[in-house]
Amino acid sequence: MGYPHPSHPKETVLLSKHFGDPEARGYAGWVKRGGYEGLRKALGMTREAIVEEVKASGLRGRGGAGFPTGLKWSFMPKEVVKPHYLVCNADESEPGTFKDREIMRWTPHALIEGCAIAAYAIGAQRCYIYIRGEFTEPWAVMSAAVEEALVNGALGDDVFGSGTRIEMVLHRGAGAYICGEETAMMNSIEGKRGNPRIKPPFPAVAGLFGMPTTINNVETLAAVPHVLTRGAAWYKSLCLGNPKSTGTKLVSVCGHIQRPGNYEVTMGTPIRDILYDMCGGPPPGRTFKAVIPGGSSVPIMTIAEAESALFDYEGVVEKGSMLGSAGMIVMDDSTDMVYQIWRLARFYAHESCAQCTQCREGTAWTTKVLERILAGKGKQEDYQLLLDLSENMTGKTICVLSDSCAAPVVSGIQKFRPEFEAYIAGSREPALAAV
Amino acid sequence: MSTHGGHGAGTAIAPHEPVFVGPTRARLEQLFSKYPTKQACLLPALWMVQEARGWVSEQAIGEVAEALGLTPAYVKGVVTFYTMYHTHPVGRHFIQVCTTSPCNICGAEDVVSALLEATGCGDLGATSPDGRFTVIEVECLGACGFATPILVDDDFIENVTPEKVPGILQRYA
Repeated sequence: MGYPHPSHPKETVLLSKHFGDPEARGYAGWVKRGGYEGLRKALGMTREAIVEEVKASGLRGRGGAGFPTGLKWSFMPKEVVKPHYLVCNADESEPGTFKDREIMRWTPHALIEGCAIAAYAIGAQRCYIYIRGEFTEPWAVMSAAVEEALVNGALGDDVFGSGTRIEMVLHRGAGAYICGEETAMMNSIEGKRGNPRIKPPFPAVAGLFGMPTTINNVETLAAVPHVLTRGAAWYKSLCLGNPKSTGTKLVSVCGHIQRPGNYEVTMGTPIRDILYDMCGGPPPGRTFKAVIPGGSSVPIMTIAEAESALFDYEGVVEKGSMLGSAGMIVMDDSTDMVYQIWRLARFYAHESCAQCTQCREGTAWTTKVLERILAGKGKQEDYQLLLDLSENMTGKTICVLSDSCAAPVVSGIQKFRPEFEAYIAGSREPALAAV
Repeated sequence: MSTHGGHGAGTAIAPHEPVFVGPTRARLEQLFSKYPTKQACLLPALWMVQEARGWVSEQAIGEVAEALGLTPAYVKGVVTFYTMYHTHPVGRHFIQVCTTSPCNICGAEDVVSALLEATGCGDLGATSPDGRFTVIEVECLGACGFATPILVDDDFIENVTPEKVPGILQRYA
């Protein structure tokens, strides 16, 4: 289902099939819909066999980086000599992205089952699910579901009589975008400020509490039971474009569009189909101008670029951006691109953990320069200043938050320069008061 | 204490009633078994303080530090990193409005104006004279397809428009 809209024939509903169905939230309702079959099957397999199956499926991380999931799991030590941990990243905060929220609200047991399979596969007895503090409803739904799973033996000291112990702990964030970065998340769980850590060591070597740890996104984990029940070959066959991108992907569509919401498509679906067929095109009387395809941290695409792109990891890169988290922000011809790029820069300046100089200073400085341009005080030199700042914010810091701030700025100047020019030349009314 | 400035001096100097007693103490101790260190219970403990008192005072920071074997300075460093912990008292109902780009292009700034006017708060972060509301702007609430989402206390409300504001506020005495 393209929640909150009915399913579209061009969708492939796997994870979203039961969105909006309150009965699917409960344990009994979930089992009736085929739930926990994947976990039962997994418990009868060796850990290595599960990792191989997930590797063979081609499943890649759905949080933004697109790293192969099975490969990530295989980095964990084979022998469990000290505690292993699984961390589920449910800190969904990337502007434009709201898919994990729906997975937790409507199909909490899909996530619990995926977590349990992953925990077993990597030799972890405990899984922490880090849910952002603002997600009050998903928190309540997940809390109830974990209790129910425990009562029904899907979690606990002896999962489904297999002798396997899996404990699930929900951990509530407290308002910090950066905690969605995996090493910042581990620090946050440890009771620290959410500053990202330098890698190496990688989490599989020394992660949460210094122990071997795997961190996976909600959507990635929710896809795992399907790989187990229907097999890697079947999952891999869900592919319309590049064979490196397999399965289905939830795409969150928002902004200037007729039917915003979550849609689920087979990898390789043309973005045009999503924008027009599923979402109904632009609001009446308007035309599309730009699309940010993967959450706010990826380069902005012109509508022409977006319309010609296939929706998968490679297809979006080919047209100059990234699939990221597949949070698609759509902007029509009424949008002031300079103002929105400023608003995004302000977001990153607000969310910088302030650990690295390039990010702490760069995001704030970028915001101020854009403010100046919007106030009608911009100068011709400001283009180069913004590009220089962006250059110094890319690939030079512990995490990629400052790179993410640079992406919309650089692509915005490249693709929408006349809009900047109008403010600088004074041919457009200032949008902000001078500071 | 500068962090208490302007928000009811009476509250700031009142003697601190311990939070971690009785059932709340028991809840905290239950948490200890879920983490290998007591320090890891810091975020949950701060949530428990805020749930009980509405905000995290200097004295509460001291109490949390003692319960977890940390220094008050360390705890304060963590409290101030996260935006959801209040370091001063707020209105009876705390309203968070998303104004990040996806909501911004769908009219979030008008929702903010409507809320500031209807609550009587006037300014972002200020509490209304009747002590009923505090309104703040927040970054992405993760419900961009349902612009504009607002969070009133723990109630997540989607698709808010300026027109819907008065009706929503009526639900909160």
